[in-house]
Amino acid sequence: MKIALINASPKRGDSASRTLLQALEKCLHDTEIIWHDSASGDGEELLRAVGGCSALVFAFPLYVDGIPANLLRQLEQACPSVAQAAPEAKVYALVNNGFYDGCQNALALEMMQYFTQEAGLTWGQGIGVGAGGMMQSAPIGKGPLTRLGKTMDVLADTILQRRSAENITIAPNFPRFLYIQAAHMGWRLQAKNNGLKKSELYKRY
Amino acid sequence: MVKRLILHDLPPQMADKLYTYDKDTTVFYAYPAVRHCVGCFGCWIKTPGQCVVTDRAREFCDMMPRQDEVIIISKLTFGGLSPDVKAVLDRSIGYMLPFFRIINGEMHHMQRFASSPALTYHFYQTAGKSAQKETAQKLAAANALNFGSSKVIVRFHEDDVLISEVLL
Ligand SMILES: Cc1cc2nc3c(=O)[nH]c(=O)nc-3n(C[C@H](O)[C@H](O)[C@H](O)COP(=O)(O)O)c2cc1C
Repeated sequence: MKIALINASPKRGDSASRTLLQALEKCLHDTEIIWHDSASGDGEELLRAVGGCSALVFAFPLYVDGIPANLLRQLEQACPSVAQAAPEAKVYALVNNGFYDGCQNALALEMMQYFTQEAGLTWGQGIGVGAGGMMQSAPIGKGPLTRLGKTMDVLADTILQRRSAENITIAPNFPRFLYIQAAHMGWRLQAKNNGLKKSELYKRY
Repeated sequence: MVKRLILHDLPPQMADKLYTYDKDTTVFYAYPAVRHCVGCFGCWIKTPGQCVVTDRAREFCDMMPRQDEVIIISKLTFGGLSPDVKAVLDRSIGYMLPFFRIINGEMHHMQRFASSPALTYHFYQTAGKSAQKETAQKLAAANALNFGSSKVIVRFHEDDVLISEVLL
């Protein structure tokens, strides 16, 4: 069985999407894994990468309540021929967002399901992960990411057994008001490191 | 006069008709595609309100605060916007603030500006896609919450969209 892990975060280097895929990879034993970077590139490259795979796992951030443009373009281009390249494939999606509420990823998961349908593939499962900003705060499976760790174990099983399952969305084991406080501090600190005054963050143009 | 900004992905022969409309209507053509957002958050923490990438996508975000209405015309794509239109919106999050607030029990953004334009969506080529239309409707509502728009209208066009139906 060949599984494609497709990292579609447009960020170069570290991203929550990559962290999620790395955690999933650790649970996918005895199977061939292919990594594909969809930060840039076109549908052709995506098609070549997923050829012959029986599971396509897309990880990406929620952008403006939907699929980020880089991935959206690749999906549109690959849609007509992906079923030929990977006829057996089931599609899984790991969407993370900046807000705390994982449920806000539900729309992007629905969009991935329409892609799957139009492409003539089979939907596996979608996971919506809230508080993407916390992905690097602890090892997945520990502390605030305990629930996420369990979810990844179950997802890996589902993929390995070639099953489909209901979409789920999760939030961290961490209070929302603290997540908000930490994020606000983070923005201010980063702005300060860039030489901005606090008031400049609110600038109108 | 009501100031309007139109973002669209229509084929050129239809788009031409938009430009001759009136002086208070500005048209932003999503094609050729702008560069896609790379997720650096520079528009929040380096040059607040402005994307650090210098292509024409900046103009769209610059114009947003001065509008009464923003009209988005897009081919319905997997229940959402087309890649060209989406690329412009992804590049426009500097319009809001990085900070969070709670609305209806969910997290959303605080707004940089005191008031936001109304949002109108026209999705075309929607025939036979009733489930996708439901998703698009929810997408528009979610976008309105995040862009701080208190008014949002969504219209679907089975086939192509006629300019006369957009500019009433
Ligand atoms: C252009 C842009 C749009 C975004 N839109 C949303 C959004 O609508 N809702 C949300 O919760 N987070 C949104 N985010 C935040 C990202 O989803 C969040 O930072 C995520 O953790 C990034 O994942 P990555 O590191 O895998 O790229 C947006 C970020 C960017 C850059």
